[in-house]
Amino acid sequence: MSSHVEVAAVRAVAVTKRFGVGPAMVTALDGVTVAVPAGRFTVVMGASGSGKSTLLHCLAGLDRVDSGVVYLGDVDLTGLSERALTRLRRDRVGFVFQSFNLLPTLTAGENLLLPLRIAGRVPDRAWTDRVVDVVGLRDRLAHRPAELSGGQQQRVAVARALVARPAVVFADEPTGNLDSRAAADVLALLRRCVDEFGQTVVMVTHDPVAAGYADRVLLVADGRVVDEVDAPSVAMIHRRLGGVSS
Amino acid sequence: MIWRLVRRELAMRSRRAALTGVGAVVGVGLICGTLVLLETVAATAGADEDVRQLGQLVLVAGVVAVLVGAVLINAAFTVTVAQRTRELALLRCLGADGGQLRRLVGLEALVIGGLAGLVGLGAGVGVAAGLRAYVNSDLFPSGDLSGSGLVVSARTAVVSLLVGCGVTVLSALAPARRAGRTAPLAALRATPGSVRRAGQVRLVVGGVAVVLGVAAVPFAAVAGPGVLLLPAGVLTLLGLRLVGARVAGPLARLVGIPVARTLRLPGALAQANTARNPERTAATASALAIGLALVSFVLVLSASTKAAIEDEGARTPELHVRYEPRAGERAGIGADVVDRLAGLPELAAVAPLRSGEATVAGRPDRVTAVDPERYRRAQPLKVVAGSVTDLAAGGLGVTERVAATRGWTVGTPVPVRLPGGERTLTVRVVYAGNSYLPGAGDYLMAQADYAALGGDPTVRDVPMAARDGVPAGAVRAAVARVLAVDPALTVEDRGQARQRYLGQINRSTSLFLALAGLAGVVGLLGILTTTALSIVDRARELGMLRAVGMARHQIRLMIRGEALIVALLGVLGGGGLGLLFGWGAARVLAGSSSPTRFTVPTAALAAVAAAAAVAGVLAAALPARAASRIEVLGAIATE
Ligand SMILES: Nc1ncnc2c1ncn2[C@@H]1O[C@H](COP(=O)(O)OP(=O)(O)OP(=O)(O)O)[C@@H](O)[C@H]1O
Ligand SMILES: [Mg+2]
Repeated sequence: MSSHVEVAAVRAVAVTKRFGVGPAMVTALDGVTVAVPAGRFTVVMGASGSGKSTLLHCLAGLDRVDSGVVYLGDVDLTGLSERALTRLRRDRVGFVFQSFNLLPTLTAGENLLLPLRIAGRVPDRAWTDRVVDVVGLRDRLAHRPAELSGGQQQRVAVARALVARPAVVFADEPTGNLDSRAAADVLALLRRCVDEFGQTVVMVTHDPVAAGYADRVLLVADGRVVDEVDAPSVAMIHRRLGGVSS
Repeated sequence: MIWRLVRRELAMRSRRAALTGVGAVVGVGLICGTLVLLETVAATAGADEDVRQLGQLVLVAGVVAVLVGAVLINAAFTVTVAQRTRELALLRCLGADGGQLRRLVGLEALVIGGLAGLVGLGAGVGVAAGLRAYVNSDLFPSGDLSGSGLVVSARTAVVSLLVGCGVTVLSALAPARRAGRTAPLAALRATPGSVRRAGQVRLVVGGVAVVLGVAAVPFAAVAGPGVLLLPAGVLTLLGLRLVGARVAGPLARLVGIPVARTLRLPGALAQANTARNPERTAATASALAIGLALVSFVLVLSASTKAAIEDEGARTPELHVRYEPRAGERAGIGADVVDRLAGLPELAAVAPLRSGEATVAGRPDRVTAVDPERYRRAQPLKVVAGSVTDLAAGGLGVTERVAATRGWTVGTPVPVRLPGGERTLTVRVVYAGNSYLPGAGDYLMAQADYAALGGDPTVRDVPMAARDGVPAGAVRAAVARVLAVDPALTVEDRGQARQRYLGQINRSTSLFLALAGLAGVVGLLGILTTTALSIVDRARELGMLRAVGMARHQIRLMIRGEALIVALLGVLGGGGLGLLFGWGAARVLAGSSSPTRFTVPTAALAAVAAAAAVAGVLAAALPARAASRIEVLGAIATE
């Protein structure tokens, strides 16, 4: 663990999340306490069903926790009304999902500006231009999602998450549907966001290679964060993952 | 932002929008057609009352069509919002609030409604042109609009747009509210097309409405005021709409059993699909049910009225003189004609009737004056109490209905005032009156008393009886020769009178049927639209079925089977309601001045049911074909 004091962009304290009732009840998060450092690339890994997505949703204010507290910056999400959560999603967080990130009826460019439009904010031209250049999609802005490859669609989604300058970008298996080259593009892009823009990124992934891009890896098993590794190598991730699943 | 999303949605998914808006077009078209017709009538000198009445009937049909259309539009938006759950949820993830999503759906409804209003305006001009052609043709007894062009005023256009937008937006309110409640997480886990189950409150409110509405029918029929039937009908329909989604599942399963038996695997899938999506099934079936309820209601009432006419046949004279004066003539049947008829050897009895305004026990009415002895022989009266011959000198005859409502029996004194004076007569005979066919009116009195009190001496009808053994043709010929002196007079026998009135009933029945049928057509349109929408919804699933080896024709069979099940639900529900309310109305009318005897027109109802089921399957033919053409790969790739 790093010894110097970090500013946490997101923090979860003793967060528990259950689904269902009675015998069908599943404890997806079982007292998770974790901090996501600001300006870093944090990756969440773990076996299928271990609670990674649930953790991400709770950190991002997409889902409510059953107990515990989640702080985004210094805002306690558990105390927020639906309206305030909506405003928070609008202004403070960005999302990239595994699929269906873009509205099929809008062009890539329109999708890109959608969060700003929803918020009624005027896009910052210089910033938008820079984001578009970074994701390398300038010649694709007039295309519809159906006319883009999966990798291009994901890059539009990343650009969109950046364009509103959120405090944190959350990504749930953004490379899950991509081949290794497209995946590498998207991962490199996320890495650049962290390095060049100081963007905080939290990404769930199954891919140990993807974890190689991270500053920190959180290993989740059975609804608990069982390990935290800073600046890991791919081989190390493999080892740790092996340890978790055995 | 919202506006751009709406514009894109409508441009890229114009089929979906068209399928949604079509529900409003028929109703708007009819209403707009009426307005055009009425304004054309108003602009035409001497256009007559009949045309205006026709316009009003079409207007009623238009309102009904709008209501059925509202159910359809609601169904379409319900399906659409469910289909777009992921998109809506994605917008929520990107920071859209519930209000923005509500406005998104609402604005879409407004635009679709406006377009439907415009198309309806065009259709309305077509409807008006058709109506004008009908009025100008020989089919329409009076009126002529050939001299004037159709008048399409700004008012008509505004009303069309308002109705189109209004009905669409109102129908989209609930789906828009549902859209606003979309959770952001639904973007990640939603299986498109899953519709929430109806809430408990909705179930209870709907159930109570149905029970009250249905229970009100026998109450209105037996005890209460007949007008109660109208709110009862509305209440029942609203209630059914509310509980529909809950009962549609099990009902579809039940109705689907024979379909599954005959169509095998595709049928079984069809059964499962209709039961799986009860909201869509209920909305589509209820839209169809409204039309079928109206059609079967009209059929039951018509059959019941005809039954009453048949009942009167035995109480109508063998022959009578039909007096049809031309405008301005009021001479009545001449005394010489009556005398010559009385002299004919072919006739056994000739009983001229005079009738005029009178005040009977304080109420204005018409009384008929007869020679009791002649009348007894010429008019086959069904006497309930007393005797016709007792009418002579101070007697009064009343129908059963009058006796019942006024509480009179044989022996009751009744004051009768005629233009020349007043006298208290005594009820001497109670009989079954005829309301449709020629026969005894509500009040009978002796000719001598009538004349003494200065009653109107005009002879308006002459019932006659033929002498036994004389061939009918010879009797008619002899009477016709006498009547030849006056073109206003014709002889009519029992069969002809019956035919004439049945023909009138048939004409008005077919007019009402055509109008009710329009509601049915809108309902069938609903099968087309919801089926087509559901196929968009299920592209992946259909592709998967194809991938695992289902043949194209099996897919087609499956979709048609679904349409059949929905149509059967509509037929059963609509037919049941039509029968119930037809029974109620027939019972209410039974004791009125246009009486009925409740009769179930089994053959006609069966034909309508069969036609609706077949039409339902045909309506799904295009969507079924589209479904069978879905490419395996394309469907799997659909996101
Ligand atoms: N909406 C839900 N309703 C019921 N159970 C749920 C729901 N969402 C998640 N779960 C359960 O919670 C547990 C954690 O799920 P989660 O989606 O967080 O896993 P995950 O680690 O993201 O898995 P994967 O790698 O497969 O995406 C699982 O057992 C899952 O079945
Ligand atoms: Mg997951």
